[in-house]
Amino acid sequence: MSAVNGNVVEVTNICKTFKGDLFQKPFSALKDISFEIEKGESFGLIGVNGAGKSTTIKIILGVIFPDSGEVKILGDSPGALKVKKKISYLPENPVFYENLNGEDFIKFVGRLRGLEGKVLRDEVERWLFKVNLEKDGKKPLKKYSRGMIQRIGLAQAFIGNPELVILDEPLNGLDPLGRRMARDLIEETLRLGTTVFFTSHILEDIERICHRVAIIHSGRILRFVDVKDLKEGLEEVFIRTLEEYEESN
Amino acid sequence: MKRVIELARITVKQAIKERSFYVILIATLLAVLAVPVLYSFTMFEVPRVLAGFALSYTNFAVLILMLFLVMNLSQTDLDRKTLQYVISLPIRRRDYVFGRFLGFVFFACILIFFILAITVPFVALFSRMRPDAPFYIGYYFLYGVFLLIEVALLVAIALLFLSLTSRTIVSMFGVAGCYIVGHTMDEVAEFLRTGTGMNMPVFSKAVIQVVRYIFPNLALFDVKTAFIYGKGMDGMSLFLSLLYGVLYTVIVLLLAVVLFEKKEVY
Ligand SMILES: Nc1ncnc2c1ncn2[C@@H]1O[C@H](COP(=O)(O)OP(=O)(O)OP(=O)(O)O)[C@@H](O)[C@H]1O
Ligand SMILES: [Mg+2]
Repeated sequence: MSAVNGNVVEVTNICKTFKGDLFQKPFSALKDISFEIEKGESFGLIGVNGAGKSTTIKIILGVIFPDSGEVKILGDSPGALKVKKKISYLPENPVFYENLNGEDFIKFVGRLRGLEGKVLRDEVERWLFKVNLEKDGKKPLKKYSRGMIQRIGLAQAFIGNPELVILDEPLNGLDPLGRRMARDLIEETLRLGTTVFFTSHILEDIERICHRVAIIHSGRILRFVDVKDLKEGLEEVFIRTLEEYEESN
Repeated sequence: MKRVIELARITVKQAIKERSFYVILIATLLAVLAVPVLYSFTMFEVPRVLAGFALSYTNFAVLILMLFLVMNLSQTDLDRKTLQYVISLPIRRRDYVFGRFLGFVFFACILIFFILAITVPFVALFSRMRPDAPFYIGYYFLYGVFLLIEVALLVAIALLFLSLTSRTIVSMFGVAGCYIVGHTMDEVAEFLRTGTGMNMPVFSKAVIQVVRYIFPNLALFDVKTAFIYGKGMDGMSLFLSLLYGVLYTVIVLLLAVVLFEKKEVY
């Protein structure tokens, strides 16, 4: 299980500089980021474009590595198979294996999460139904619309009951009904005790689903916000925090 | 192993759904239809021409399609960031490399089998008409095995480039470069033994020697000419070539895995 103190994610003082190509200067994307996420918590990371949200996520996934600092996921290092068996990830602007059909793709993910036989078939069907793609399961993904890709992306993130679900802008590209559906899915999985870590630019949604929010800017976390203690809109807090930061620099 | 097989399976599935696979199969049928035409033109050397044609065609079709597929499927994984997603799934990074490799090699098996199954019967049929040109089915089988080894080696090299660089163009030239150098270095070595070659500066000769040891000697797997002219080859040298191919592939693949484990996937 997770670490003694019940934290699912522990990020301590990570820094990340992208080396840059031939003619580019190195770019410092993360500067001393620290936070933790408790078990069962819904944690949101918000910030302007280029603030470092996706970079943080990729480090947590073990896809790229921090220059310094430490990351522990469920008590282990990111990228370990043991960890990856318990987490799921929905990328921003996802591109999945395009010439597979939706059903085969979900099945592939389900199998990797350890489902098989009838359970696998049932779960695939259940999730296709939940994201309203039950009629499109046999279509190749390259014929999916943007929102349909997002829906299949949500289905693959939830199938097999991962302990930690990491969603990079999960509400992107969805119609109003789709956004409602995505919010419902996240709330449902939270009720099951799953931990959710996600980013979004739609602060309204963040406010509705998240327990706790971190505001990240230019690779630094400027503030943590407990959503239940909010006395004003998250948007006001967000903008004020950024303004204060700009003034002090 | 289960995860490797899962990835191999998805690789084969992807490959089969690529349109280029069908293009090649149709092209093969058309090529086979060209056989009677060739027959009417070249009465004398017919069986030999046909055999040469069938094998060259197979070689060309398999290599082109495989290179296209490997580049397309692996490198677009990287270009479109699908790779970031895939390695976040419950697999080890090495499972990805091995799974891709096995998937491609398995697919190449199917491909070689199909193409030979279409072309060889025709060659056999026309060889019948010329009793002086014997037809040995075993040659074609061996030929298929050596072609498979060459493909496996090139797939391993492509995966090595995937681990080395994030640029498709570098990978493409890298693999193509290995292919060309691999097929010509024997000739270059031959040239060194001639008069002009002897007079080359020592330094250039040294470079060529180093290149010979680093790059795979792909000409070893080219058993086509020997077979067509009925020369055959002795069992021992065939076995050694095979062993060389397998060992080389394993080493390249392991190197690819080591590098891929540490790769930052952007
Ligand atoms: N592979 C890379 N090489 C160089 N710089 C990069 C790379 N990836 C990200 N960056 C830079 O790091 C910074 C943070 O990027 P990141 O993708 O984390 O932003 P983000 O907060 O997710 O933004 P968005 O809201 O637009 O998704 C950006 O300035 C970006 O240009
Ligand atoms: Mg982002």
